[in-house]
Amino acid sequence: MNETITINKQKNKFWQKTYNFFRFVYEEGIKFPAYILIHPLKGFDIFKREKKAKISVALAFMFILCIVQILEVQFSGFIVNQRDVNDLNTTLEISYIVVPILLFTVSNWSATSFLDGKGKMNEIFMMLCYSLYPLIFAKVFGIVFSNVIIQSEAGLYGLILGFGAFLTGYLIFFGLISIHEYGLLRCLGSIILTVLAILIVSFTAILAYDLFQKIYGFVYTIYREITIRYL
Amino acid sequence: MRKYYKILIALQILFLGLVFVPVNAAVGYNYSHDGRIIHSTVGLSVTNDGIYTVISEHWTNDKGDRVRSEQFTNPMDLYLYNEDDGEDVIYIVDASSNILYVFDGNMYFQHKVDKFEIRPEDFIDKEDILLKTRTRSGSGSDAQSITFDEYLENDKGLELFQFMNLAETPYDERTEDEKFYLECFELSGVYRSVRPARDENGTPIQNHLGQPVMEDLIYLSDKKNNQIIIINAEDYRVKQIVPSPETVNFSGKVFMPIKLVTDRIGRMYIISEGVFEGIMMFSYDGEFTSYMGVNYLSLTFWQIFWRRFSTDEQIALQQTQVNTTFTSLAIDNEQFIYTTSRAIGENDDTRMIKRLNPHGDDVLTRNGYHDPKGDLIYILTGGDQNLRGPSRFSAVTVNDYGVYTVADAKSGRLFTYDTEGYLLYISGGSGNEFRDLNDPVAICYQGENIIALDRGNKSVLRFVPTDIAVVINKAVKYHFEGNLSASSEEWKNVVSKNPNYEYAYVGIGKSLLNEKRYREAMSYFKIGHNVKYYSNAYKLYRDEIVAKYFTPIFTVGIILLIAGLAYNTYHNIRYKREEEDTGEGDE
Repeated sequence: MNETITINKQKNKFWQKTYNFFRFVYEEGIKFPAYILIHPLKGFDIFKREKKAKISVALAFMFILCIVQILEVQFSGFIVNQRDVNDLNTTLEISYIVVPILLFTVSNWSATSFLDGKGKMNEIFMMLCYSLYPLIFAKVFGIVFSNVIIQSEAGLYGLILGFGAFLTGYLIFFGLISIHEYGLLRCLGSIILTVLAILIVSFTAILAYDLFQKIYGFVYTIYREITIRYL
Repeated sequence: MRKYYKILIALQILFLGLVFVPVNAAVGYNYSHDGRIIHSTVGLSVTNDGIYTVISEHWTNDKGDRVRSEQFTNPMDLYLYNEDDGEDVIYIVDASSNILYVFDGNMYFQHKVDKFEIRPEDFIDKEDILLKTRTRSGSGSDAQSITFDEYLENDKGLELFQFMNLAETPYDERTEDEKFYLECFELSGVYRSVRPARDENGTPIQNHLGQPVMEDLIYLSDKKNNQIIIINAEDYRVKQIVPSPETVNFSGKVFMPIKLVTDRIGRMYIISEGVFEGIMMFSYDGEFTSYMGVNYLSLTFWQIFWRRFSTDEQIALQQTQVNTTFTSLAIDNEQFIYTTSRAIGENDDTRMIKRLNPHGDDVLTRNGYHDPKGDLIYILTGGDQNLRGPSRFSAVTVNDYGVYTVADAKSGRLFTYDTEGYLLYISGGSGNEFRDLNDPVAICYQGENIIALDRGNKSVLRFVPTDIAVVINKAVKYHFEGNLSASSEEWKNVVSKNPNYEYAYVGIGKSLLNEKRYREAMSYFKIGHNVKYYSNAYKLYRDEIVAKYFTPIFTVGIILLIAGLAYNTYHNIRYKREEEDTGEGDE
């Protein structure tokens, strides 16, 4: 008797957990981003003030976009995608998503520190990831759509992807305004500064890479010299 | 030990056999759909008996006359003419010795002509042309171009009217002194064709059946004498002279013809060195009418930008930017002219091969994976001018079914394209052997073979299609004729020989598309990387699917909708009434 109760309880617990999980996914992963999409200023206000944003959801969005990006190469219709699957480099595809987000987060944070931005770094990161929401949907829809179109309809496919990218940009823009509590002009200024910062960061990165290569080359030559001469 | 001798000897023989087996290891390449080099066999290769030079026995005729090496130092042009009886005649001209060599279709030397007889009776009422006619005096470094009346005066002591008066003397009664010859000065082009004959008034001559009488003529580009000499194909007698034009649109320029073709009605299309306005078109009578097909140079943004800020002196110091001249031309059965030229400017390599319609517009089909432009991968920078830049085409030839081959003087390779603009195969290559093509100056189709004149090696090479090229040619030919199923069979053979040959899949797909097997056609077009045809096939396939499933799905949908509505209405009526009933009851 007792056993059945515990089993039932466990079962109930399991179902409860599953239900809670899907409820969480629906509430946080679909409903809230959709709310932001429709009411960007109000949505990002809730996002910031009520701390409704979750880092787990943000990471999930980034992860999903990475997956979708890879699927896009593999499963887009032949009409719009003549890339050879053998050329697919998943690491590279993932880095196309992750690196710009991280770069933008860091650069924006450093730029807005100058301009009295109220946003914290993790808020900027979460805002960027939440803004990917329309892009994910556009890409998924694009993959399906590209398989049922002919060449003359390829423009529509471009429109879908373009619309997704536009909405993402739109969300990022309003997100910046809300998170840093900026006006319009100030926001634009911060974006320009961010771009500058991105350039500086990437330049430094390339410089460092080159330097490391040189140091490596130097150490390697010494190693060769020693091995050939004394060993 | 002794018992192993047999095995050792056998091994030795096997080894020697392996070494001395003639390996024709011509390793070629082709370009894949995305411009990468894929290794494949060459399309055309030179067999050992297809190499002809001054030392080959083919070049000595029955009378013991032969092509002498000192008279074959600068061969400039080769033309293959297919006579009515099916025999081929091959003409080669040499620009240093100014000799026209005549060979038969198997490259057996027939005879050579170094001067062309001119008779007064052919030039009655054409004294003005004769006044402009020029000939060569002296040879080697002393050679110079003189006018025809200077020739008469110096060599024969005659005036032009005396020459014209000789027309009344029957030819057989003329002495050797009364025969006159024109000599070419840098003979750099040869062409032969038939044109409808005309009488003195310019009306076409017809025979008793009402058909036009044709005259068979050889056209020679006499470069330093600034004229075209038209001679009879049988007796090499000068028939007509096309002197340098004196019209307004040619003022200030020098007429230095190098290559020419004529169309069916006798119009001449001439490439003249140093004329940047395009190909010169001459009428039947030798009147210059117009230019056609100019390679317009377009400056890049930065060139325009800097020119805007530079002074006139600075511009004068810069290299002059001129339109690109043509290097060779060929005419196809539909009277379209294929031309080649260098890259326009330094950057635009997409329009090096053109197909000009009679109006002068470029109508070349460029549906292939890439524009027809020879090598896709080349060095852009570097000190060596010879290695830098895109292919430098020096010759073009086209066959009966629209397949054209261009010769790249830079790499010594032949690039063959079909009517759609797909690269079929690449052959040849420069090197140190006799079979290599070092400086191709002229190529001509002989059936499926290509005869190439190599100025570098002073040789003529016969390129014969390899096994796979034979099949490719068949497939392209059937496709050109509209026989898609036969073409598809041949493309399947191509695939079985070389599965990497992407264009073959497109060919198979086209036939499947024609048979309404859209699914299969789609998969073939996908392998062949042809988006356009894939799209066409998919559209038809999609239409098929929609036509098949639209009616049932739509019907079921409508029925469900009606059923739902009906149920809803019924539900509403019933329950509302009950609600109303109970409501009333409650109250």
